Amino acid sequence: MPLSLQEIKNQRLVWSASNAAQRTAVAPQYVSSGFPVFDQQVGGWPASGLVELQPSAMGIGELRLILPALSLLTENQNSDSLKPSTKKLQVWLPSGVQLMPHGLGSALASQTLVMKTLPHTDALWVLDTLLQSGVCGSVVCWLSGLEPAQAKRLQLAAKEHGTLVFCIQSNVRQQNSLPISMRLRLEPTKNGLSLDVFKRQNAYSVEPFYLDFASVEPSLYQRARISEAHAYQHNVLTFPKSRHPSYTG
Amino acid sequence: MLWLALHFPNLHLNSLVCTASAIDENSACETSHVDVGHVGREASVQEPSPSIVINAQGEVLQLNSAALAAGIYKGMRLGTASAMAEHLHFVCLDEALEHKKLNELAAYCYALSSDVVLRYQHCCLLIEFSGMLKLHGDVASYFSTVQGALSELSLDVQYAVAPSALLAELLARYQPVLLEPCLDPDQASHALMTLPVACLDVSKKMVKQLERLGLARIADVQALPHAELAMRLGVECVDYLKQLSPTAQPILKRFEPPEHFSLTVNFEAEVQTTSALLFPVKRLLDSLERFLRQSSQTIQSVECLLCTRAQHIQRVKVFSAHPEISAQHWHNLLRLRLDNLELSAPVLGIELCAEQLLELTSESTDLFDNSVSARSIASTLSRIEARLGQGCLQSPSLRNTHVPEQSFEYERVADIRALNQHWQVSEPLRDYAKNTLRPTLLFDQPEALSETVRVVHGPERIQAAWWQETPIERDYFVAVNEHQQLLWVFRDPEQRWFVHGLFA
Repeated sequence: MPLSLQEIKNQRLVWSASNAAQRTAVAPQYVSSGFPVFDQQVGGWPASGLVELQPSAMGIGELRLILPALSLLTENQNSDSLKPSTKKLQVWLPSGVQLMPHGLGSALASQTLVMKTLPHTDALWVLDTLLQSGVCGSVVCWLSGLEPAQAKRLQLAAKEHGTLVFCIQSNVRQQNSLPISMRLRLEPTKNGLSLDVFKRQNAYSVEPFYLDFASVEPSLYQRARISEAHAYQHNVLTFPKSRHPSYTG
Repeated sequence: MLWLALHFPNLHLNSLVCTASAIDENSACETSHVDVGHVGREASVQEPSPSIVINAQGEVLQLNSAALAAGIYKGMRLGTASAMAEHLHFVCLDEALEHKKLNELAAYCYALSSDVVLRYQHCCLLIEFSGMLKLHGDVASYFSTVQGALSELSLDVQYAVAPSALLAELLARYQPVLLEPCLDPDQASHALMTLPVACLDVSKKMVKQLERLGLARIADVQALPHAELAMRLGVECVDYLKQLSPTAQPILKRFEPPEHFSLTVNFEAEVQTTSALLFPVKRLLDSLERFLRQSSQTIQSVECLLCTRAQHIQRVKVFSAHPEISAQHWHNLLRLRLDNLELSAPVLGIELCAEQLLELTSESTDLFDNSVSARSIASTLSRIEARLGQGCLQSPSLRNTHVPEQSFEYERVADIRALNQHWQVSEPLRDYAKNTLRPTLLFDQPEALSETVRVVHGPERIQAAWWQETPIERDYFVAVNEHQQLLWVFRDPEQRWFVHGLFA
């Protein structure tokens, strides 16, 4: 009875060069976050697996934290991949809001895909399909909750194919432990974010630390001078009357 | 010349029963949680119900083994037959269906030899295989190959091998009358001699005439001189007899394989659920894959026509992001589609069509390459699209306007290769993003500002589209609320404030 190739593979009778290369390749465990303080404290983002961000509210700078890492990942790929068609995808799974490409700027690349807003179960299915197939380099998703079993499944798939998944959950209801690479809480501060990395796989826990965004986004964070003097009131001009006839009517 | 004739006596009946049993097996596998052995036993215990096919006059034309066991024979009236067997299932002969089936079989046999002749009137396929002997060695091994290929179809088949086409056909049709099937071309004319004259493909009147002459077997007819026969019976009869001789080479129209793929299954009973359709669809896709491999072509879309009651047709079309021939791939895509499909009416048959055939080009892969292939990306995306509908995958592109909500749009990603051309504007965008302050998240609709905020940046005036019906005049600010969220707010000329986005 001749064995099929799959059976032979299952019995590990075939040495596959592509597998061996994957296993022995010394991949860096961390990728740089683009913030020296962050890299110094926790080493950077894990190279693969799930990272859960828990901002205290939407729009406090959670994307600003991960955008440099995302653009780094796409740049790395652009440099060493020769064929454009085999680049790994960068997928965004937004929920409820639109992504504005101008704001995301350099993180977006030619292999960026943005999904429509999906119901929770469909979003999970898409995420699972993408991670199992291993075609993504990085994924950013907004999920409204993750069961430990689902998290484990996604984590294993992401680890196997070297995918970095940022999972943003702004209103965390219950605080159960999830078997994923990293979890951190984000609190806004005057000049940036306060990060509490309360879960790291294969590493010691770290004290909460501050991340300064003032140098990255000066226009958003160097505001002390203006607000102290209430200067913004002088900054605002009165709106001139519109000269367009149809609008005033 | 060597001809193999295949006669399908129960073609209509077989095409119905085999799909019905397939559904039975499928449902048994799905519902029972016991091991396979048990399922197998159950299937063998279950007796097929007697089924017959009748013609318009109500005479039995085709019957299955259960009907035969009940004492029904060919030519019996329907009334008699239904009296003999309880739960008799009968259908009227559909010649169009048989012709279609025969065409499908011819396409199937085209792989065995390129010389195939269709004989609709006798439900026969004639295969000339002298050219195939170089590959197969001798007649017996070729025949066993054919038999192996046909056994997959679970059809009743009668066969004969003879040196001329019509001779083989006659011997195949009357195989049950012969002592043993004729598989030796040298024995063919000898086997013909033993057949009664009623087997000849001539009018009933002619047969009567022959019998009155005292000619019981074909051997008796052949023994007479042709000139005498022609005088008594007419020239046509003699011409026909000549064609039966081993050296005859009648002109027959050869079968040409179809350019498009189309295959049908018909169910014995109506099918109500989409999950029950999956199994027959799998068989159709398997034949599709075989067809594509034989013609070395590939497809990017498949159409599934569900023929429902009252001749309505429900169309299901599935697209793949890349050309694919594998039946498994198409089955996965179709399953995702069928899971979400509402049947408008119970289904009686499925037709699978593939019309846009593409040239097959093989992709070379690197043994040491561990990056993802374009094919696997495309197949993943097509799976997602099959489940969530077209348009769920998008890629951003910029538009030439200053109005924030119109300054970008998401376009459907149709093809993975097109995807990489899209982000041509990447470089200017990076500069633009550096120089202007734009939020990362934008609300679909601006929301009224309902909390106290502190302005940290602004204003930035956007005044556009004043030449249109809806002019845009907004002063944009960045503001912080009490949760320290960075909001992108604007004020319109009437001093109303709105939140338009978030600096996440």
